[in-house]
Amino acid sequence: MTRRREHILFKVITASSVGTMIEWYDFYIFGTLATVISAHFFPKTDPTAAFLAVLATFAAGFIVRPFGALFFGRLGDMLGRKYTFLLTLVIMGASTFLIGCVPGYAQWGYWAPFSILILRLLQGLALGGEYGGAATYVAEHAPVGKRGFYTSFIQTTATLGLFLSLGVILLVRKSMPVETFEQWGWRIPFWISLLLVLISVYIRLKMKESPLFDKIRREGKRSAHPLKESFTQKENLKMVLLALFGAVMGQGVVWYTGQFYAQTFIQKTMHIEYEQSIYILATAFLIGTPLFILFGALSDRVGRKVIMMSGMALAILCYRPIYKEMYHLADVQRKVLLNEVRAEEAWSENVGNVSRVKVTKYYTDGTRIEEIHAPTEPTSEANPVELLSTSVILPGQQQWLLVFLVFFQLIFVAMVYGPVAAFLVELFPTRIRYTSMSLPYHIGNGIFGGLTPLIATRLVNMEVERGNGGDYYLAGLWYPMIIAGACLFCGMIFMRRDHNIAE
Amino acid sequence: MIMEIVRKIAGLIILFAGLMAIVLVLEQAINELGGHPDMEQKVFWPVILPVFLPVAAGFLIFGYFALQGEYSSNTEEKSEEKKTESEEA
Repeated sequence: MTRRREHILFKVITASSVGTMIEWYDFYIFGTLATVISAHFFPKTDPTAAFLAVLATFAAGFIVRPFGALFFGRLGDMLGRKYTFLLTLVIMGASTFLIGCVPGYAQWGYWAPFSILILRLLQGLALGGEYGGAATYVAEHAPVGKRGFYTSFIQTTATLGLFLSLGVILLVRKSMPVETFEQWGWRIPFWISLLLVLISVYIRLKMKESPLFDKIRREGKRSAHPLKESFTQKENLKMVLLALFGAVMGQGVVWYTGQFYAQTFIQKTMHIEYEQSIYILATAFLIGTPLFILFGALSDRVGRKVIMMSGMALAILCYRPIYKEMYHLADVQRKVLLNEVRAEEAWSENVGNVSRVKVTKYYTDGTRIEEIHAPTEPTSEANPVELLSTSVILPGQQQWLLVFLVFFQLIFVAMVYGPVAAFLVELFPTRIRYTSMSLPYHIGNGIFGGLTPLIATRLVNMEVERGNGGDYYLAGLWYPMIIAGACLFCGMIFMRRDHNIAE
Repeated sequence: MIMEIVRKIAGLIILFAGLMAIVLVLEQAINELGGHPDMEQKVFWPVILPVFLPVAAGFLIFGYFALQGEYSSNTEEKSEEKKTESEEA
């Protein structure tokens, strides 16, 4: 490949990747700020219900993704890749900015959660159209035999987008008092999106249409009915189903377990203090991101199937030991209490200043636990003081062990996700590629993957309701393990090593 | 040849697993929503059911195709030839 062609290719990758990363950023700040958003937009009568309502809204963002894939995929196959994924970027940027402007439930009543839901659905639709466009656009510029390497840059964007969202949220949070952040500061990351999207639109406007799409347009070979061609012709439909059940379904759950369930588990099950949890996740994501490129490039040499299937198999085998070890790191039953300090403090909350008792417990291994209690004396053993929140702060060595355990999951994530764009692109011909690859990708990731935190949290709750002690906290892992197992079974039997359309 | 038989058996397993999954999920949903559902159940099932059922239908079609030998090497080669011909046309 000439230097000039390589230079053009990296410009294409940059334009596509930056835009896609910003879309992921937009999409993830909502999930990362779920607890704060819950307090503002949903009635506070039942905190669990409010949190579930946000998760449902979060899930709604995922569920509409396949519809976005169909709508924008069709546009992309008929009108071209460039303008379609430009449009998705604008829709995403506008909806994210507006989420940051919606007044809270206290000011707007039910209009507030309703508006949030609509904007969240628009975000999901836009994301559904974006990824297929970016992956197709890069793959159609890349030489055959190196698509795994070049499209893997697109694969890093989701993790980088999550990293960026965590970083921006942390910066904003540290730049102001916690109360200010919870009152209105959380809106800033949503407003920042507008600036990021404007920059990305400017970059993308300067790009040309994909050469392969341009060729079929000039030759008059574009599909007049991409949806019909993709999903009613048996030759294509069977490949769509194979892509979904033999690859993307398992990839989706492994991806979301490693990046999102890990976050939910660290914050809600292990009760790691918020800032420390963000540092842990962000560090692991940053170290793990180059692995996507490594496995993408490796898939050009050894094949996509072997890498993706190995990633799924490793995930199934390792999830339980990894999460068990993670839980043990914050388990006070395994620690020896050294000292306990109680202090009554005035806390600023929505209702004004209230009195709270802060209990700080120090353990021999360096762990510190901060508990916030309501300031009433216990009347009996059955009626102890109300515990409002618990934050576990791990010492350095254990913190790094947790970083490693999250990073370890990212190896599986990179194995299944790094080669998947090239795999999908190569399954379908240019004329229906955008439509055909987008749908299975977004069902696998959006539905199977996106629902992981919701279903896993519910499985853990069911285990608790049944009164099963022991490893109840691992119950949520059954969902990704079963789905990845089913996908591994289908992929190993039905996927060929060389499914490859070389145009 | 052995692989073709394995693929057909796998198709049968997929059909059976898909049907089982539909029955089990519907049974669970009816049990939970039919009693006195709490807030969590009221949120969970209306999100899951409209998503799960079409995907499960796709899984059954996948199993049916596998049983019909659509993923066997010979059929795939013929399909790819057909695809190329239709594009050229």
